[in-house]
Amino acid sequence: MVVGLILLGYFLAGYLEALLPENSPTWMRVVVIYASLVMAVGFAYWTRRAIKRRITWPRTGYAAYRRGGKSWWIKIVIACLNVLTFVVVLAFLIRKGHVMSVWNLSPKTWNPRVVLLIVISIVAYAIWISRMSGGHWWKWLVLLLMILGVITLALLAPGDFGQWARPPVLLIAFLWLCSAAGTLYSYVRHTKPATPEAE
Amino acid sequence: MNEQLKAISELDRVIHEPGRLIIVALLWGVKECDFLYLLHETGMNKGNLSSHLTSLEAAGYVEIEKTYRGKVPRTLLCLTRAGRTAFDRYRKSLKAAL
Repeated sequence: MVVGLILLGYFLAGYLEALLPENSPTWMRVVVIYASLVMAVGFAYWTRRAIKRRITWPRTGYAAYRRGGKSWWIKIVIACLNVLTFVVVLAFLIRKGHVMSVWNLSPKTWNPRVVLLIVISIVAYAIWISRMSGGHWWKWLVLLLMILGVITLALLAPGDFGQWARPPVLLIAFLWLCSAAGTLYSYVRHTKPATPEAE
Repeated sequence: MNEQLKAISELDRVIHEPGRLIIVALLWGVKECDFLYLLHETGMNKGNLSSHLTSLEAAGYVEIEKTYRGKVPRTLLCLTRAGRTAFDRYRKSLKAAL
């Protein structure tokens, strides 16, 4: 669900940025893009928390997993390094006057970031379901739909790369969210809230 | 008695019982959890789980806090420091015994 919402935020960022007038200042484009992404991440975090409190915890109980230990600190350091690299690159590009556009609208130039995003999203879903599908065989059909959908859109969608790339990202986001909804539905069907009796 | 048999005989009997071993192993992996989580993960019935938790609390290995979430009663559980130490020692003893 979180991945689907973040992809949706990415799509929204590109869409809103494309709606801005041609002569919009760089800072406005940056604000629109990153405000969309921050809102998507915030919404994903709030939704996940709300589902845990209202659906998961009353059915299968509450647990706060331990943090700490060597592997957890390694993950924190890697996350911080990623954020720092991102901020430094962004600052460098803004200083150099480049527009941080998620969609390259040049008809002859492919945006490797977007292609990589699409490929990583599909591969990540494949890895996720191979490890976590837990008997939900239908998720493999969703993966097939994702791959076939992207290929079909690539062959049929007109326009330049920027116009082509939006529907696949939206499709992948939508399928990730459908998969999450299916998992939640299955979970709710197979569990029921505990009765508030004495423990 | 050889060393391995001696190690087996010295295993912590409070933790060594299968039901309590599952409970302590689950609690070791979390900071805290509620009664419903343990009920779901262990597959025990309420009476059985309560009985084991009482034994673990009496041994000082588990801390039980009865609270409310709104109007719904809720029991929070966590391993004490003594419980974590005892489980770590149990794991080492079992590895040595086997």
